[in-house]
Amino acid sequence: MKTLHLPRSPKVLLGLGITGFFLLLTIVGPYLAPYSPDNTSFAPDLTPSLHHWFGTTSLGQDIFSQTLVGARATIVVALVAGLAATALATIVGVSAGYIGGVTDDGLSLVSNVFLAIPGLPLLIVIDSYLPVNSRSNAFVIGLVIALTGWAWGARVLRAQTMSLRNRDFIEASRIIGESRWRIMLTEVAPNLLPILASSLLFTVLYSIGAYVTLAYIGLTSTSVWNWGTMLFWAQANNAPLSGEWYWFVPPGVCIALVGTGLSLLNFGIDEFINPRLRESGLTARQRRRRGLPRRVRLGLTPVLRPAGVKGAATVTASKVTS
Amino acid sequence: MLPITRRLGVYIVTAWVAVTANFLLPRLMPGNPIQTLIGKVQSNVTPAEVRAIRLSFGGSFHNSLIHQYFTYLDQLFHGNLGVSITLSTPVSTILKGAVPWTVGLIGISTVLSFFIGTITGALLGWTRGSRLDSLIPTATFFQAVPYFFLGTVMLLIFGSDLHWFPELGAYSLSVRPSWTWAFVSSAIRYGELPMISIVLSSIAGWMLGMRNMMITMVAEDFVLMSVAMGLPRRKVIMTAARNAILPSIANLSLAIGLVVSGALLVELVFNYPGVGDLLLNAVQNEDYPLIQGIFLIITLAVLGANLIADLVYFALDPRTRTKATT
Amino acid sequence: MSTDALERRAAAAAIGDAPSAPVGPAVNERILEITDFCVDYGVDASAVRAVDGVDLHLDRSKVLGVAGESGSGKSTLVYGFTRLLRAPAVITGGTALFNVGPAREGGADEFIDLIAADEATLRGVRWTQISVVIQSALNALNPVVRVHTLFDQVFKAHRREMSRAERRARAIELLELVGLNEDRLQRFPHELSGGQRQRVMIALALALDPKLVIMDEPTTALDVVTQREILGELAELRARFGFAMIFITHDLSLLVELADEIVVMYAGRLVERAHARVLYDAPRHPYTLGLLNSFPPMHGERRELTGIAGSPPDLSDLPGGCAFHPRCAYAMGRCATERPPLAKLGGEDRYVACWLHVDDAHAPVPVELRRATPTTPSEGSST
Repeated sequence: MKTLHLPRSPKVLLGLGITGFFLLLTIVGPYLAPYSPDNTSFAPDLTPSLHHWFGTTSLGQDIFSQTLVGARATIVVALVAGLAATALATIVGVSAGYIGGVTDDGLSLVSNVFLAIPGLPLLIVIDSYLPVNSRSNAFVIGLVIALTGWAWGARVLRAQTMSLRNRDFIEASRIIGESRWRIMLTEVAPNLLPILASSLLFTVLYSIGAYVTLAYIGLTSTSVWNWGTMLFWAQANNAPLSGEWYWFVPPGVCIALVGTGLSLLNFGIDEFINPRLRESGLTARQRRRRGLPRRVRLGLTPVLRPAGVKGAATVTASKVTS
Repeated sequence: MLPITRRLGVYIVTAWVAVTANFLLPRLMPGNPIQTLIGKVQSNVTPAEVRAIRLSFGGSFHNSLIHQYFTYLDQLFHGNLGVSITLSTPVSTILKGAVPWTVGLIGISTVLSFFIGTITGALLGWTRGSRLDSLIPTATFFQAVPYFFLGTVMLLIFGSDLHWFPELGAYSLSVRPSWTWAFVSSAIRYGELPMISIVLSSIAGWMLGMRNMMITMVAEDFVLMSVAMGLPRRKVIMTAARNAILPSIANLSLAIGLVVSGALLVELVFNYPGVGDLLLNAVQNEDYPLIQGIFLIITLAVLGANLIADLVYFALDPRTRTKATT
Repeated sequence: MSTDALERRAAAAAIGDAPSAPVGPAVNERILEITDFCVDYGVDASAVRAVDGVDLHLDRSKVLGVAGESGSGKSTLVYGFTRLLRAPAVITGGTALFNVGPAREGGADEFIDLIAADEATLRGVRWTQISVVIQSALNALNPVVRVHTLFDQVFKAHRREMSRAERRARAIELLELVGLNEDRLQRFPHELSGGQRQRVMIALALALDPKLVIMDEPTTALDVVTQREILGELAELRARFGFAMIFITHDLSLLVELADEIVVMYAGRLVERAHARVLYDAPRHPYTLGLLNSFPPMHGERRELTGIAGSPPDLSDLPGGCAFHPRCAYAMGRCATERPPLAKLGGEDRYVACWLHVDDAHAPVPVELRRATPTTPSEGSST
C-alpha cells in the first residue's frame, strides 16, 4: 500500500476546511438556527440587521435560519445522489473494464447513451412526471439525479480498470487461479480508490447543482427547505429586480462555497493520482531569493554557482589544451 | 469497425432511447398522465387539436402498445410533436421560433468559452508557478456557482445597477425581427450579458483541464526533443498544446451537456426567448407535449454537437484512425 | 603543447578507424571539455548531488562511452551539460566548453561554455552541432504529426533557405542512410515499429551534420537482433560522416566495440577512465570489474557471472569516503574515510579513483585488478 502523503498544498487544505465546515452545518444547522424557517411573523423585506443577520423575505421569514436549515436537505440529497451514482458507476465501469468482451460492449453502450443525453433536460422530464408527493422524498429525488449523473464515472472507472487489468500483479493473481470476483474486489478496487474518490466528489458536485436547479424551477416539494427553494421563492417574489440581494445571495454563495470546497479537494486527489501536478518545490519568490530564475524553463537548466564564481560564455581556443 | 462508425452507432441508439423514453415515461408513471392531460385540456383546444395531441402520444389507448409506439414514431417523423396546452399552438411551430435563439446563445458561448479557456489553460500550464496561477481559485469558484445564480447576480450588478447592459429579452422592443442591421446589432447587444454569464460559468473546466494536460505534456519526451532540436519556443509550446488539447475535445460531449443544462436556466433569468424559458413554463403548467418536444430537440441538438466534436477529435488524433478506441 | 599532450594526441589519432580532421593550428581537435561539473536535484538542505565534480573531454570523431548502473548519474551528466535537464535539477558548478568552430573562414576554433550560455546561443548550437537520440523513441516523436513534419521542423528552424523540395529530398536521403524506405515519411510514429522509430530518430539526429551526437541508451528497449543491427549502422555512419559520439549505457559489452574511450560512473562520480579495449581487458576499479562480470560477452571464453553485491546507493545518504566501499570486495580502512581522487595511473593513459592503485597503498592489488594492459590498443578490437 502506498504511503499516504498528507496534503500540504494550501488549495487542498482550504478545500478540506470548507467541506468540513459545511458537513458540520448539515448536522448542526437546524439546531443553530435562531428561528423556524417557516415562521412568517417577522416584518417582511428587512435588510440584514442584528436581529436578522441575513434579513427577511417578502413573507417575513428569517433568511439566516432558512440558510442554516436549508443546508441539511441540500447536502444530504447531494450525498445520497453522489453515493448512488458512484456505486452504479463502479459496478458498471469495473465490470465492463474487467470482464471485457460482449459485456463491455453492452455496458459501454448503455453508459455512452446516458452520457450523451443531456442531464438536466432528462431530469426535468422525469421529474415532471413524478407524482407530487414523491417529490418531497429526498431519496427519490436523489435516485433520479443519480440516474442522470453516473455515466461519466463509469467511463473513467472503466478506462482505469482496463489499464489495471493488464498489469502484472493482476495477471499473477489470475494465473494462481483466484476467482474473478475476488480479484476485482481485493486487487483492482484498492487501486481504484483515488479515482473513485475523485468521481464521488465530482458527482456530489453535480448533484448539488442538479438538485438546486430542480428546486429553483419548482420541481421539488416546496415544503422542504433547501437552498434551491430559497432561490425559487426569491425569484418568484422578484427579489433580484427589487434589489433584495440579501435574499438570494446567501444561498447562492453557500452553494458556490460547497462547490469550491469539493473542487479544491478534487485538485488534491488529482495531484495524488498524477504526481506531476504536485507543487514542485519553491515558489517564485523563494527561487528568486536563491538566485534561480523565477520560472523553470524547459531546455534551460538553471545554473547556481557558489558565491563569487562566475562563468564566461565564450572562451578562446588558447584556453583549451589539446 | 471504424471508430467513427462506432460513435455514429452510439448516437443513433441514443436518439432512439430518447425517443422511446419520451414514449414510455408517461406510461410508466402512476395514474394516467396522458388521459388526465387530455381531460384537462379538452375545454381549451379544438377537437382537431385534441386529435393531434392524442396522435402525438401514440393514438388511441385501445390499440396495443406496439401499435401506439409505431403511431408515435410515425407522427414524429411527420413533425407532429403534439400541441402545446398552454399556447394552443403546435409544438413544432413553437420550437421553430425558440430554437435559433438557444442555439445561437449556447453555440457562441460554448465556442468562446472553449477557446478562451483552453488558451488560458495552456498558458497556465506552461508558465506554471508564475503569478497567473492566482486565476485558478477564482475560476474554480465561478465554476461552482450555479449558472442561473451567476446570471442573476450579473443581471443585478451590470444590468440593473450599472446599466451597462440591457436587462431582459433578446432584442430591443423597438426593433422587429428581420435580417436588418438594426435587428442584428440589437440582438448582439442583448445577448452579451447572458453570453458573458455562461462563459464565466463554464470556462474553469476548460482552463483547468488544459492546464493539467499541459503540465503532463511538459514532462513528455517529445516536448523535450523539440527543445533539444533547437526549435523556436513558440513551436515547442504548440507541440505541447497540440497534444494537450486532445482530452478536452474528447470531453466535449460531457461539457456540452453541462453547458446546455446551465444555459437553459440563464435564458430564464434574462427572459431570453429560447428553449429554456419555454421549458420552465411548460413544467410549471404540466404542458407535457411541449416538455417532450423540448427534451427531444435538446437531445438531438446535443447529439449533433457531440458528433461534430468527435469528428474533430478523429481529425486531430491520428492514433484513432488505425486502432479502434473506446 | 606538453609532451604529455602530444603523446595523448598521437595515441588518440592511432585509435579508431575514423579519418581524423586535418591537423593544423586553426582546427582544434578537442570539441568538448567539461571541467568539475556538478548537478544537484533540489536546493538547500534537501539537495541531492547527482553529479559530483566530473571532468571529461572528447575529440573530433571519437566515441566516448559513459557506463554505470541506473542512478549513477550518467544521464544527468550528459543531459546536464546540454542544459536539457528538467526541474528540480540545478547545475551547481563547472564548465562545459564546446567547440563551435571558427567565427570566420580560416579563423581559429572558438569555444563556448554551454553552462553559461543563454537561450539564443544554445538554440544556435542545438541540433546543428549537438544532437540527441534519447532512450525511448516510443515517446520521443510527436505522436500527432507525420515523420516528414519532424524533418521539416528541423530544417525550417535551422536551414531556412531550403525549399520544400530540398527538404523532402534531404529527408529521403537521411532515411536511406538508416535503411528506411521513403514511404515512412508519410507515416505517423505509432505506425512504425520500435526499431524503425529509433532509426528515424538517428536520421533526424544526423540531419544537420552535427559535430557531436549523444546517444542515451538507444538500444535498451529493443530486441537483441535489432540492437546489433543498429549498433552496426551507427558505426558505419560514424565512419562515413565523422561525428563524435557520447554513448550512454549500462551494458559495458556494447561499448567495447563501439567506443574509443570509456568512463565509468558511480554515485555521480567518475571512478575509472580508459581506452575501451584497455578497460575491457584490464579493469582497475573494483566496480568496473563487477560491471564486466555482470554481462556475458557474445564471444570469447566463458566467464563466471558474479554481479555486484548490495544495491545502488541512496544519493541523499552516500557512504563516507569512497561511495563504493560498502559493496567493494577489496575495501580497506582508508576507503571508508577518505574519498579517492580520480588519479592518473602511473605512466599509462588511464585514470582510476581507487586507493588500491595509489603508490603507497598498504594492500597488494588483487590479481584480477592488475591484468596486463594490452600494448597495442587496436589488438583484438571488433570483428
